[in-house]
Amino acid sequence: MLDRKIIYLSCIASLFIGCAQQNIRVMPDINLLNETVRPLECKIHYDGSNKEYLPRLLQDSKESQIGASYQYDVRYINGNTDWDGLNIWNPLLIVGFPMSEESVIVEAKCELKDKEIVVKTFEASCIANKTRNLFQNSGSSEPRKACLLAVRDNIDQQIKHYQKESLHE
Amino acid sequence: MSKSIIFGLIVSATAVLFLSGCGASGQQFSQFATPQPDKGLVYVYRPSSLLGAGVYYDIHVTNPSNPNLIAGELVNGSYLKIDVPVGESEVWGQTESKASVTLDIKNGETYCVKGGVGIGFIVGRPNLDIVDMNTCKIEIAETKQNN
Repeated sequence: MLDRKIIYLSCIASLFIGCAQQNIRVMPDINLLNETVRPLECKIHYDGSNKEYLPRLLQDSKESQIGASYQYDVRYINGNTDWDGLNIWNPLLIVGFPMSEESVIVEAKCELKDKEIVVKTFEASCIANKTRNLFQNSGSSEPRKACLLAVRDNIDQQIKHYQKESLHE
Repeated sequence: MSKSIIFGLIVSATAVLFLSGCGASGQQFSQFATPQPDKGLVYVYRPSSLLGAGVYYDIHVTNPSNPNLIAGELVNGSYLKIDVPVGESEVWGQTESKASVTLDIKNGETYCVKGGVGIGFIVGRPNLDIVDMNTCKIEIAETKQNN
């Protein structure tokens, strides 16, 4: 009898395992280029404080005539605890039933300028969804960082493609 | 009146008296202050709620210049005012698990973080959200300072 209960609970738990995960989607989809390219030497304009989020293929050079401005915007769609008074009566909480969902949206833009004229724009966006349940708490620090790194990597790939195309022209 | 009803009333009255001591006792929020030079200002507030009213937690701020500043206790219906240096700062709270938000603080800017309490295994868990200033202005007005 007890064995049967354990099997039922395991089956229900397996249904909700996916709910506990954080999922991230980055746009645009881009083919990964594994070849190494030289970083773009440019005057970087970046008003963020964490240099980790800057595309790694932008290399700051005071002498360069090319300017690159990198900026990002972070928006939050918050979950809430308003329904927790009812959630407390939900027996499925013990198997990871989601209580709320929150999202972080990051939009990044990198403009390459030659004498103040924009010659190329790279854009990337990311959405990270995270559910709160009894096994995973809320908080946007992790998804924010994951998204900022994901858009950085996406823009790096776009720069790689751009440089490869420029070489062929 | 039956004994069980009287017992229920006594328990309820005791709970109300017990929880009434958990709220903030400082000044009611009136207006946002001006940030100090070369700093930003972060308000962390928690609207009054019956759910998890007795649960409170410390608000910590982590940044390169101060790895663990304890700004104060976030009790039910309270707010904390924190001067934070320019740059990335993590604002977090912890009971049986941790909740955190990260802000990129700009010079002279004011930010708002809304706190709450959600369900936990043994004790309520902190819930922290970054909110826009319009929402903050409305909700923080009902709270009292606790640091």
